[in-house]
Amino acid sequence: MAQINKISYYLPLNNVAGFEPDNNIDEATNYASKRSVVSIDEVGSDLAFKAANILFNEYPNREKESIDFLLYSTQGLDYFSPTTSSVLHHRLGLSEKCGILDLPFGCAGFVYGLSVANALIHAGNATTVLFLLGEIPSKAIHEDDVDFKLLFSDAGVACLIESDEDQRIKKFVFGTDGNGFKNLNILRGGTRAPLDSDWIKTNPTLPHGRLAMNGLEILRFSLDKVPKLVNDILMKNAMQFAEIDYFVFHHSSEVILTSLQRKCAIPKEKFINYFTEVGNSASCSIPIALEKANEEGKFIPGNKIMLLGFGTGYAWAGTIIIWS
Amino acid sequence: MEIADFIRIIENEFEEVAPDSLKPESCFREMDGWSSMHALIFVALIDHHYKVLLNGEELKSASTIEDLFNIVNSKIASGEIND
Repeated sequence: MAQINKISYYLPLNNVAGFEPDNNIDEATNYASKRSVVSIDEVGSDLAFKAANILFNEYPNREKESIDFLLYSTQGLDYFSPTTSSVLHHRLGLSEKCGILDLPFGCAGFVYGLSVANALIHAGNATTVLFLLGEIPSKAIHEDDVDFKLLFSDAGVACLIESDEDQRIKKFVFGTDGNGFKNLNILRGGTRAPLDSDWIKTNPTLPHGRLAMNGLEILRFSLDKVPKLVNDILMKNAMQFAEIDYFVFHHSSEVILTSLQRKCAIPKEKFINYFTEVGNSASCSIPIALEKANEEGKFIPGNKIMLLGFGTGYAWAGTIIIWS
Repeated sequence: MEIADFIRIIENEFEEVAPDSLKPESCFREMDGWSSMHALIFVALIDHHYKVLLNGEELKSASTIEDLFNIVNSKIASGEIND
């Protein structure tokens, strides 16, 4: 049995982009009013490392020695090899008895990672999982892609998932439509399409490839799949819609979030949305929204909270947690 | 469905559009402050009210409010409902 015991996050807000959106952009309603951008010499694992240190400072009784598994979710791995979780394991000074695993996943990454942590604990293979997340979409945004600059944020998250007498992490629903990979991706820079000298010459600011997104197709995918996923999660856990106290969806965009809230008929007071404050920080968005709502005192022990990740892949995953 | 209802739904959604200002022959891309984001809002709005999910080709082929209305009607008639 497992539960989320602590979430900490780090947003490099000292590096908010200082550009002016053009007059056609309705920044106040549809885009993030703040965006966090990592400095040029930092990467995703640096943000995750900072979030982990915040967690340990806020949770001083938690001894690093007790952590027996480290998960790391990112779309910006430090190296092709070794795993970035091994690098983080060393930097954090974790035990030699601690297992590691990278999850290069994206929008559904938090829910997927939570399912892995839950499975490790449920099977008796771990008791304390440190789940780190570090996302740096800004490093793959072309300077002309103003919409993306206003949508995406860099962030780091640290989350402690521990064994518990009660099962506070419920059953998961997963899904995939690989045909959607073409609508949200960074295709250059991997082994199939390496960066070559022509790329570097024409894209000197994008040494890790360029983020591409078909916004209309992502919206269509979200409006099609997410309402069905909400019902599937409820059915799998034998719960009713009205029993859910809060809904925390991946913060893809303000238009998608508000459209899904309306389509799923979720009361505004039950729908957690910090998009205009934080933006889309990929796999970090759900845990940051959870912790911001917690900081505001929204949750009480026993609250049923639906978590739902969806996007790049296409991949989607959802579950329900009981707040402790 | 009536085109008057279709227009009223659009006018209610966009604060910058004055009531009774849109006509069937109005070009929606010429609405005040139009951007690519408005196209997404249109698609979500039509999905919510009519359970019809427009695609990029359909959106591109339409110029006026009436064009959009006709596409939505034809999709409803052919049973292309996103429920």
